[in-house]
Amino acid sequence: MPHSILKNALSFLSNTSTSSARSSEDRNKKTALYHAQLLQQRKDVEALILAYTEALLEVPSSPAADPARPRLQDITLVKDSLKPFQPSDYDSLIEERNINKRCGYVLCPRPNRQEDTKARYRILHGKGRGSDSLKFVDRHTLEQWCSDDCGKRALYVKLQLNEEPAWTRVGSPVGDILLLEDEQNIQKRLEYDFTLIGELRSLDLGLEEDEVVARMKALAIERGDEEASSRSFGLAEIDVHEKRDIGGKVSAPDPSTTERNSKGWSDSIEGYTPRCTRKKTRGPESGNREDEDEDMMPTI
Amino acid sequence: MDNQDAERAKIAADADRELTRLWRAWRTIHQMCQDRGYEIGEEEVKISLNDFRKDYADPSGAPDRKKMNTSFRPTDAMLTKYTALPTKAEPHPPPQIGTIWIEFSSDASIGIKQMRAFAQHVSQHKFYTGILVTQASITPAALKIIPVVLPSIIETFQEQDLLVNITHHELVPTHELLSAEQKVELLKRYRLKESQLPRIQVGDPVAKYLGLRKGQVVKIIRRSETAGRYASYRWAI
Ligand SMILES: [Zn+2]
Repeated sequence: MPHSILKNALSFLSNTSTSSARSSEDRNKKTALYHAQLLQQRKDVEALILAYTEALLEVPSSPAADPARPRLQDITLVKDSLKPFQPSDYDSLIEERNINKRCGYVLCPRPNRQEDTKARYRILHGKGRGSDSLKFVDRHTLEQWCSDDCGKRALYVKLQLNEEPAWTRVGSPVGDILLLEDEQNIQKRLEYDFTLIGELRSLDLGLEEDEVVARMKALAIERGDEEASSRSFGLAEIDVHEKRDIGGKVSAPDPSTTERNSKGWSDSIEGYTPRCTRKKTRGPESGNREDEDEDMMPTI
Repeated sequence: MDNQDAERAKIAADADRELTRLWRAWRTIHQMCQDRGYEIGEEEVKISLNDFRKDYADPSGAPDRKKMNTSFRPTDAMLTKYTALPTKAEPHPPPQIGTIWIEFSSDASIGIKQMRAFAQHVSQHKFYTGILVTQASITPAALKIIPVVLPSIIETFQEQDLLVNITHHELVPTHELLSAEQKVELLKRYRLKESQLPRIQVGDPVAKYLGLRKGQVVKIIRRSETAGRYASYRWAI
C-alpha cells in the first residue's frame, strides 16, 4: 500500500474514532467504505488516463504541425491531459504512438525513426575524437522519436510528471507542465531584454543614470508588472521552481548562443538571479556602472 | 544467378516455416473451441498442412492472416451448460454463451488502437466472445480496454502459445467445466460453500484454454497407478 494511502486512511480513522460513541463495527464499516471509495477513485483515474492516452494518439491535429511551434489548441490539450499522468503512463503513451508509427513526442506528427538494423545497440560518434567520443545507444531509444530534438522535448515533459498516482495526490496542487519550447522562449526573451538594455546603454552613454532607470521602468511597465511579465514570456504560467526537477538531464541553454552577445552581460542570461552574477563577472569596460545595475536589475 | 536462387529459396523456406507455425496455431484454436463445446466438424479440426496451405497461403507461400478470420456457434450441449438454474425472478434464464469470433491479427504489435478496432468489431456484430490471436505481446494500455467492452468477452492468445496444445500433454489432467446444475449438486453433496473449494486462477493456462470465468467450477480428472481415476474440483477466481 503506497504510503500516502496509508496516511489518508490513518487520518480518516483518527477523525472518525474521536466521536467516542461509535462502535468498532461501525468503524470497520467506515474503513471498508473508505477503501472502496479509494479503489473507485483509482479506477476512475485509470479510465481517465486510458481515455487521454487514446486521445493523445491523435495529436497533433494537423499532419503538417511543427513540434517546435505547436498550435495553441494542441498545447492546451496536451498540458491538460498529462496532468494525471505518472511517468509510467507517459512511457506507455510513447509506446502506443510508436506502434502507430508516430514520433513519441506527443506534439510531433512525424513518423518515428526506423533503424535499418536489428542490432540491439547503435554506435554513434559524438563530439571529439577517439573511442571516448563513441556512444552506445539502445536502438529502441533511437526509434522512439523522429529526431534527437523530439527526444529532448519528450524527456523534458516526462521529468515534470508527478511520480505519485493521481488518486493519492489529494492536496498536492498540480503544477502546469512546461514544454521545452516554453523554457527556450523564456531564455530568448531574457536574451532579448538584455540586448535591449545593452543597446540602450550604448546609445545613451550620455544620459544620467536616473534617466536610464526611468527608461528601464517604462520598459517594465510596457510588459506589465514583474509578475505579469513572466506570464507573458511563454505559453504557460511559469513555475521557476520546476527547474529543480530538471537537474542536469535536460540540456541547459547552450552558452554558445548567448556568447555571441559580446557586450559583457551575456553571463547573466544563464539564470534567474543575474544580479550577483553580473556584479562578479562583468567585463572591466563597464566596471564603473555597478550602481546602475543595482537599480536596473529588479525591473527585469 | 546462383546467389539470387539461394536468396529466393531462403525466402520461400522462411515463408513455409511461418505457414507451418500458423497451421499449428490454427489447429490448436480449433481443438480448443471444440473442447469448449462449439460446433466444429472433425475435418475442420484435423485439416492437413497441404489443405491449410491451399486455403490460407498468399502467393509468396506465407500465411495470409486476413483470410483466417472465423466464427463458431455453441452446440446445444454447450448452451445448456452455460445456462444458470431457473429462479422465480427468472424462470427462463438465457444461456451465458453465444457465437465466438476468432481473428488472427496481421499487426506486428497490438496497442490501444488495434485492440479498440477488434473490440468494436466484436461488439458491433454482437459476438458473445472474441478471440484475438496476436504475433507479439499486447501493450498494458491495450489490455485495459478488454474489461471495458462488456458484455462481450475478449480473450487474447499469442501465436507462439498455441503451437502446442497444452491439454494434450500427458502430465496435464483432464479439466471439465461443470454446469450450474452440476455445481449446485456438488456443493450439496459435500455440504460445502464454493469458497471452500481449492482454487484455480482464470489466468492459469488450462483455465485460459477453457475460457473459465470467475465463479465457475472445473472437475479435474487424474489417473494414478494406485488409485485409478480420481477427481478433484477447483473454483475459478
Ligand atoms: Zn518528432
